[in-house]
Amino acid sequence: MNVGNFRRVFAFLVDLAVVDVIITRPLSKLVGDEISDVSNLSDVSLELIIVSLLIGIIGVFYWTILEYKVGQTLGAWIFKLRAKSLNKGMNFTQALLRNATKISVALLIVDSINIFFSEKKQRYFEVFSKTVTLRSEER
Amino acid sequence: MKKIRIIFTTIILLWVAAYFISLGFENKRDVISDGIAIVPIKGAILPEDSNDILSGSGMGSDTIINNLKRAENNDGIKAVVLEINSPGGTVVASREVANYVKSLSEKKPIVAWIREVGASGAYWIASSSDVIIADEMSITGSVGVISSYLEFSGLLERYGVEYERLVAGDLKDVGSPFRDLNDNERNLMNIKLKKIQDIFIKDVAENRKLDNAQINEIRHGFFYLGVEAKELGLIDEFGGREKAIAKAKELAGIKDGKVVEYKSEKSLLDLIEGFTNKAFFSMGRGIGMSLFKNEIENKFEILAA
Repeated sequence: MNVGNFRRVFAFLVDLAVVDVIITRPLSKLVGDEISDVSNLSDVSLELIIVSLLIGIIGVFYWTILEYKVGQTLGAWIFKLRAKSLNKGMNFTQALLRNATKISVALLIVDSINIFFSEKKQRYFEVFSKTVTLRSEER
Repeated sequence: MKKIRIIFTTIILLWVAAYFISLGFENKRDVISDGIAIVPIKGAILPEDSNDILSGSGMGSDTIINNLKRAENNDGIKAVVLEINSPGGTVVASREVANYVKSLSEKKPIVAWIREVGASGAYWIASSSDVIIADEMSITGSVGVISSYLEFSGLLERYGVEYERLVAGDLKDVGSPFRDLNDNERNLMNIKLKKIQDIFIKDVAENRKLDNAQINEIRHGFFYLGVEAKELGLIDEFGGREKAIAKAKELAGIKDGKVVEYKSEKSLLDLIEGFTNKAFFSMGRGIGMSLFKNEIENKFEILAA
């Protein structure tokens, strides 16, 4: 069964909160001295870029590992959603590809545009990875 | 059940991984060269941070000093700008910060930038810096001390409530909201306030190198607009953030310094905690009682505000 957009958004927000607590907060301490006047790119320290990337990559792994292992993240489990491969079972590459855009909210928004045009309500990267998000009757 | 166990195990493992990565990077923190640190001093200056919804918010002196310490310990930070927007605060908390600013100014140049208001205890802190910059219409000065509390004795009498006074030491309950001060007690309290003001003025006069005429002028405890403050020698230059940063760079002898803001952001949990603390407290005792209790607890609070 295809799933409602609000349900997906709420599940994502729960996961975002989890990622914030377990990944963003511990790592953002490293760039606690936030540069407030970033007038050009050279003002952004390499450290800031590395830490931001690290947060994004580990965040993506949160979704990837859980969807590969059990088909659900905590948010999906709460809102009774699950990720499913259109082929046989979900492999790691598929899980990684379908979650790659979660490295940045802006990318995810662009990726999500296709939900409104897709019959199966797939994001672009869900189409590429041949996966879909479904309603799960059981947790 | 197995599924949720895997989910939580993964969450915990990722958290541990992030924690260890952050430890690994710890020694590489604060890598910055030629930086200007902006340290905010906003709201009332208190002994501890307060985000109390009913009685107002303020910054703890410990928080401000910790931010100053970060700037002090970071070799890449060449100068500090104090972003002041505060009406003052408690005497001890203000002085703690002022003393720290004074000692830090011997190591790194400090520019105090007064935005809307930098009065009383906040001005005490500003005066400890090397240069004070403010807008022509900023409110500053107010080098005085105030101690006030609501006195309920008339109200209690009207409702037939009596204050049963049991004290060992006839001045023990001076400042109690349940009875009026007599002349002697009022005089004693004024003497204490005067002593505090003398220390306050002495510090400010030393910091700003004020002469007797200037000291006599500020002794009234009145506030001054930026334009008046400059004439009185209480501030050095007019300007805003850019001017303060430029001045800090000039004092530090750097050209293209990065500006780093040292702020202690409140997490959602802190805000919720502040709210729930107050909510539970108020539910237990009633909002009226909580206000009443605050007055009793604060009876000896003396403000450099």
